[in-house]
Amino acid sequence: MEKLKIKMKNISKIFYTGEMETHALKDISFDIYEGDYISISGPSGCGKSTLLSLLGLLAPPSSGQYLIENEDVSNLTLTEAATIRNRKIGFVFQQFNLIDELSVVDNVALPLKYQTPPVPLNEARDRAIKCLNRVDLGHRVDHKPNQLSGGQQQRVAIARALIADPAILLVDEPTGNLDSKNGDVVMDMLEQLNKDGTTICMVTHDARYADMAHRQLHLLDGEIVEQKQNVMEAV
Amino acid sequence: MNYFLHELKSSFFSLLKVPAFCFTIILTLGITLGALVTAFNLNYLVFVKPLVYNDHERLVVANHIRVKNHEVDSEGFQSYPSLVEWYKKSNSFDEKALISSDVTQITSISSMPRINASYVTPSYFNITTASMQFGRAFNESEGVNQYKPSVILTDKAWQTFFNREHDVLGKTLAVEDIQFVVVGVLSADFQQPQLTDFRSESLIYLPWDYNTIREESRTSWDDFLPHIQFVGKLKSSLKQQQAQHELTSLSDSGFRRNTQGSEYWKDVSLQARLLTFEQAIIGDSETTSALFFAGVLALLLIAVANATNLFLSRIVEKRRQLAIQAALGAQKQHIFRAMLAESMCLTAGALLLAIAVACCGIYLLQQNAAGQLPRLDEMSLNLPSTIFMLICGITLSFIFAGTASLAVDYRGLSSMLQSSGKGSGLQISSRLRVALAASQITLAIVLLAANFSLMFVASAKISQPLGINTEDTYYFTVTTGNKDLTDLSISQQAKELKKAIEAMPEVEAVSIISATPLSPRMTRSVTHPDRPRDFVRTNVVISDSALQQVFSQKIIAGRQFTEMEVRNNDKVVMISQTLAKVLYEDELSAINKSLIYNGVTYKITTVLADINNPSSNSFEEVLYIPSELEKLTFVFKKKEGVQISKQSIINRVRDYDSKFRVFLYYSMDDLHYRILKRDVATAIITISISMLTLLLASIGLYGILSYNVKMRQYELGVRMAIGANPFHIVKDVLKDNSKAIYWGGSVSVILISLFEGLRKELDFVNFNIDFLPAFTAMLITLLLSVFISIISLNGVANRSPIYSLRNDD
Repeated sequence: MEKLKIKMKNISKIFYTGEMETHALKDISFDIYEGDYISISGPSGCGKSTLLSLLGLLAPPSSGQYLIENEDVSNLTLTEAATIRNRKIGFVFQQFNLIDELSVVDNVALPLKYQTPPVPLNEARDRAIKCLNRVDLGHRVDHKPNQLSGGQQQRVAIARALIADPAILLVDEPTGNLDSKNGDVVMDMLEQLNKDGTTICMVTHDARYADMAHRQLHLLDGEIVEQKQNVMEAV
Repeated sequence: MNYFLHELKSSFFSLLKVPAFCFTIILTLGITLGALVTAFNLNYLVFVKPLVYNDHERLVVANHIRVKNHEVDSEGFQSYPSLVEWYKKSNSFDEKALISSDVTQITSISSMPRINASYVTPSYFNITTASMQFGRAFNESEGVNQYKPSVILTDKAWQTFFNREHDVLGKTLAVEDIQFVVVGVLSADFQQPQLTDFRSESLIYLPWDYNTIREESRTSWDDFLPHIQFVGKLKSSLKQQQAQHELTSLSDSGFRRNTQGSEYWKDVSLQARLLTFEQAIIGDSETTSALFFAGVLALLLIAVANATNLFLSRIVEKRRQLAIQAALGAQKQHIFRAMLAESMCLTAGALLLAIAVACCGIYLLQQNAAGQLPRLDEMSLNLPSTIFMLICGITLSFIFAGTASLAVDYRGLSSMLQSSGKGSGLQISSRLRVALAASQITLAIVLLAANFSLMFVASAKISQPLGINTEDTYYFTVTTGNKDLTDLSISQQAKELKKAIEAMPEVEAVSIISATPLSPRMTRSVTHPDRPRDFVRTNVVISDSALQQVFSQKIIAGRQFTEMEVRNNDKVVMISQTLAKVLYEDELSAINKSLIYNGVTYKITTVLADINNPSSNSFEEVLYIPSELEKLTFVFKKKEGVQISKQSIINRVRDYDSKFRVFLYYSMDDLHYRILKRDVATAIITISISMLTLLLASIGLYGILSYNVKMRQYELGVRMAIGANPFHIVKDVLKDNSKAIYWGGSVSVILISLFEGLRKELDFVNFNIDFLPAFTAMLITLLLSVFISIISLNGVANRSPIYSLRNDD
């Protein structure tokens, strides 16, 4: 029996601009199990990023129920959401979002600083170096992000997302800012991580990369219009 | 030029769309510029503008100084006969005059108003270049010992007492029941020289002969009085030193001759010190004026730092518009010109507000600082002040436009349209932001520390308990009109009048007293019987036995005077705690011991608790002598819960004798307040400036720190996305801002230490910045910085990270 990691039930998200309401997500329901590799795709403005924000507790849903490892996280305070984000969710952004003033290793260790109690510096550094080794960047620990290529920066971002050993890795257009060669490297790495047991949920435009996932959700106008099981997964 | 006018016009309409930005800049700059113009106006009069009197560089005031054993013993008090000697015998002056100033009562008007009057010799009007609207100035017929009852009115007196009647000459004005004939009206622009100790404007001028100095003081060489002075116009061939030498030899020889045989005055010489009119009028106000200017300048600098920051934020907001302009071929100078047009529109608005603030400031100074700052009646929004204001406005416009233009990375602008716009082209360097925030913190701490130092001293004085109960107590004096009474008769009348007042149902107790415990009192010397040459200067209060009943002054040891002791003028005294300690080292052991006063031995029956008189020139050695006074001066306490009016006292005095009039009447609480008025004003002004400083610093710091947060908004969103909670974000931003706080705090400590060091070395100012006010100022400013750091995170730390990641406002 596969272990349920994420459960979204009848989730909606409405944005308000003055008196105008925008229904970004409408009655979304789906589950993610341990070891899953899910891709979310759809045209611009369909609600992919909003769904990823809700999955990552960056914004609360307007209605519906959201469970992470059977814990209801639908209505959390900012601090509670931050704690769960820190412990259970890893983020990989399209624009890498590394902090320029910090070295590569410090960027990777940053989530450990925000844990309660904070992980001691030495231990945090050791763990960060291990993560960097996992993404083949063990030789770049003391560089600054702007000394790395785009692909390397994205790998640093993946290492940062993995350091707290999250329940799920949320990946937003990981190749959007990369050339195809670097994009392939990053996608191969994500695939390998999933094979090693990491649960991944990825937003992507690219059908080629969406096909790499076990399951595909297709969004249109804030609704899931298609759920597709990947052939490879079926095999 | 046409382009620039067009630029001004479009800037004006563009600014209308950002009212909060305009309001903040116009308000902060307008208030501070207005205050600076007020301070400039005062400093211009103090340091630059010559006096209005002809040959003003030759006009001098002569003061007496008493020198004992080569050290100055007293200064600023005059010996009447010595002044007259100078007036009659000195040859160093082309013109010379005597002046006495006092409060008097107009008795020909039913309300009998009390006014300031000056008693002068005829040359006074030549010396002060007085011109007349009507009639003439005094001439020799109103000279010394002529006793001709003439009066010269100021323009204000002519308006007040004669309603500007044109046939005023020859009419009479009764002053203290003496009919004075109006011989002239001074022109409206006459400026009475506000000489030291003469800083109350006189409404009328009377001949010197009618001055209010008591007869015995007029002949007594060792009675030193305030409010009388000698002024003169030096001969052009003479130097000030030569005239001073002549006056010294006149006064010293007269003084030695007339105090021969006195043990106390044996080693004392009486010398003259000449001050120019400028020195006398300006007094020690140069430092005060300069500090006032410096304080307001610091406020303006805070406001300028605020406005600069707002301009920088404004240019960041306009980055897209500027990028489009750059893409269309706008050069650096065009961008500067556009910013200059905006800053000129705003400073023009600020200048308009500044004019209103300066007018208010000048009015408030004239109303509240008269007597404490010089030449206030000459203050106005004159040409130099207007030019100064315009220069400030133009300079500020260029500073704002220049700083904003320098922040533009022109090359970055050109490429901005091709990129997403995030973080490129226009960002204010973190070093500049730290410098701006640190300068705000530094200026705020220094200004607050100086203000708190003054405020703490003033509030300590205000809250200090007096040591007597002034609640429900009143002081009044009675004049006998022109009724001639002997001393004995006055003493008798005082007792009878006291009984009449006592008989009023509202009155609890009445005492006949030489002066109230809070008024300037007679000072004399006493000695310990075993140390006859060891003189102790003390205040002397003569009163009857009811004094304690009125003021409830605490008795440390001993008992009250008895009525018998008062009636018999017994040789017993009460003394203050301080005097007891000076004479016998311990207040309890002074009881039943003796002291020598006026060559007579008195027995000490009582030691009274000290009175904490807040008056700056008071001291605590006080001697209380029981005696029947030949003066009609009273204090009384009314019964609790009942009302008593001044009119009922006036009626009771009239009922007693229709010629008697109440001259002075005030409550002791009023007198206390009057003494504290300067301290109350200081406290109010310093609190207002402190609030304004904190407000300006808050606006400025909020502008800078919230800009910092805005620049970091996306990064903070990322931190929150990877698990930072609001507390982590606050901690992180505080850490980021700590550099500005650290530098601001450190530089302010250096500046305050530097000020204290210079003050001790050069003694250029009469207040110091103590540790407590400096520490309080620093603590408040640093807490404010921390608080503002936290509230600048509003919209970031307290919202879902998605908003920061989207860079939503």
